Amino acid sequence: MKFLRVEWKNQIYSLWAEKDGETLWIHYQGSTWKWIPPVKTPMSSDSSVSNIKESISAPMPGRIVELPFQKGFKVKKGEVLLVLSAMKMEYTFKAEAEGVIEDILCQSGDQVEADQVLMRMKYV
Amino acid sequence: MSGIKKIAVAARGEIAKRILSTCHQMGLDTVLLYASGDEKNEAFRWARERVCIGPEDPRKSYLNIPANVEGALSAGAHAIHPGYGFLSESAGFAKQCEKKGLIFIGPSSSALALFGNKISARSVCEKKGIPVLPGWSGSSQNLQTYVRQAERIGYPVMIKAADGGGGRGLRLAHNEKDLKSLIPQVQSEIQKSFSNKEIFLEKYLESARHMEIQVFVSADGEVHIFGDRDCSLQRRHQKIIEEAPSNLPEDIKQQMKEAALSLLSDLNYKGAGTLEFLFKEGEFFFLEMNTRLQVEHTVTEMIFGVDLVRAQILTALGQPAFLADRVFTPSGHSIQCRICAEDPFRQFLPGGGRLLSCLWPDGPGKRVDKGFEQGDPISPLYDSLLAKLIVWDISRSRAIEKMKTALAETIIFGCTVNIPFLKHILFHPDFIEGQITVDFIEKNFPKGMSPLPFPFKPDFMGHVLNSFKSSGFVFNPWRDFLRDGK
Repeated sequence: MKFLRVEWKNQIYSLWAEKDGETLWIHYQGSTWKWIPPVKTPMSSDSSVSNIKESISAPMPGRIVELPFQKGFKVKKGEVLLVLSAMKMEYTFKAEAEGVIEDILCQSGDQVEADQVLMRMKYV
Repeated sequence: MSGIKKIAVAARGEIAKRILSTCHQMGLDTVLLYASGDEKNEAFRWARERVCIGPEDPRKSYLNIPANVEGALSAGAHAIHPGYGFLSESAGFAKQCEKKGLIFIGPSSSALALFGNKISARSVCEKKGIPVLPGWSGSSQNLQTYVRQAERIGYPVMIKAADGGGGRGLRLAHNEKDLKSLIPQVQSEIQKSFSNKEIFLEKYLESARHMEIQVFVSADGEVHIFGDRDCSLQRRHQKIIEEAPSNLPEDIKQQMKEAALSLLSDLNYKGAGTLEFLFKEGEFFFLEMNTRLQVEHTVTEMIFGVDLVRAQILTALGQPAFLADRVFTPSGHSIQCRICAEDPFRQFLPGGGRLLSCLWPDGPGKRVDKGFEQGDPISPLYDSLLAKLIVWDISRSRAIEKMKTALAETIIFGCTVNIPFLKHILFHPDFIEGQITVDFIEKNFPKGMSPLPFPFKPDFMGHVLNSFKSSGFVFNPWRDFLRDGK
């Protein structure tokens, strides 16, 4: 952790900061934020599908407790794809639309890390 | 009498570190009973010895009675402190310790069994004239019997497992339809988690406040009352902010204390214990008795100037004098905030990971009971409690101001924690007025809170990020001193 005095547009800002890969943690005026640099993505040719996430990654470290399907299975919208358990809580991922399970990158019982990609979907 | 020279600590996280510290202060040796994978935390580093009792899955380690007993014996420990959670209220564990010649630091196994079963605890209270909520605890396989009893009690009705605790084995039914679908659910849940399959029904008191009386029975059997606590601020039956003393009217506090005295007067109880009550509209009702040290014992310690772990150990040694020697008078006000690895901006999603760096508050009247430090992993297998922030000041309003400052001075990088939510509550008018009820969070913050606006633009942050690449940017007091011209 570093204490920084950042000079910016003729003002000096005092903050604590720490770098974790490309992520920055800062503490400024009594509050803490996690800042991830915005990713510059090329303009999508088909913007209509961009809001459905086709890869499922773990939002937190945990254990895979349910994985009802196998690679290549067809699923309907709302079907449970996998259940992650962490700290007495269960987190359920459901199919966002009808589609096919393109790839499964974990097994039931696996201990997974935060942001680890668990499954890839191909939605119709 | 003093047969204890080495104490085994059967706990993890902040409470394990807190117990170790008192043992060392008393000149006692310690051995930590830990699960493999739990080698990077404060307790592991501070223990004098460590014995691995099994794999990281708590059912095979922290909840495994033979492993804990064998671990303690192999290290030559004379006594076991069970902390809270895990085996702290297990009559079976206390019994095994007694059998193997280990002193279990807590009440006898028979007292644990009596209060561990909520049905028997209720009936002891009823016999002694301590108010309990209307309920029914017969045993029946017939769903219709439960429906009839629930109608007699009046909805909403809480379905409880006799052996439940910490929010498990607990369901609220608002009507007959709920009841019929929830009873099988609770039954199947307790099949998995508890050895005792009994369930009972109890009237649910809506918008009540959660109050506690701290008791301590010394080795000579004298019951001492260490005041009361207000623990109404809860989310899903897990307390978040606790304080002592409560703001209940003096006559109610007096009646609760008398209830505690009458409950424990002839039970051959020993050590620390807590009576939990629900309070609403001038009436209080016994909820349960916890036969262990509680997470929130700290606020009682702060206002009474007592070390309850030391008291527990001295009691286990058979030394009553320390309580008789002194008159314990409470003064001031104390508040505790539980710092948990959960994200208040994402519906309190648990957020384990690794602590990148930490900075903790200090100064007069501030206390941090912590289990983890910079570089330590936060395992998703265990409770999300990272640390407890405790403040003391002469009045409640001063304590609230001190807590706000202490939270602002706490820096935790690497793990998302609930500090923004704790701060938010400290500014809430209901909290400031001291009128929090147990459903406060469910009513006001069902999905957590909305994120705080980020104070800087991306180009500014890019500038900060670059400064990590060129070290010349790091704060230089002399250069900045000269430039600011101050």
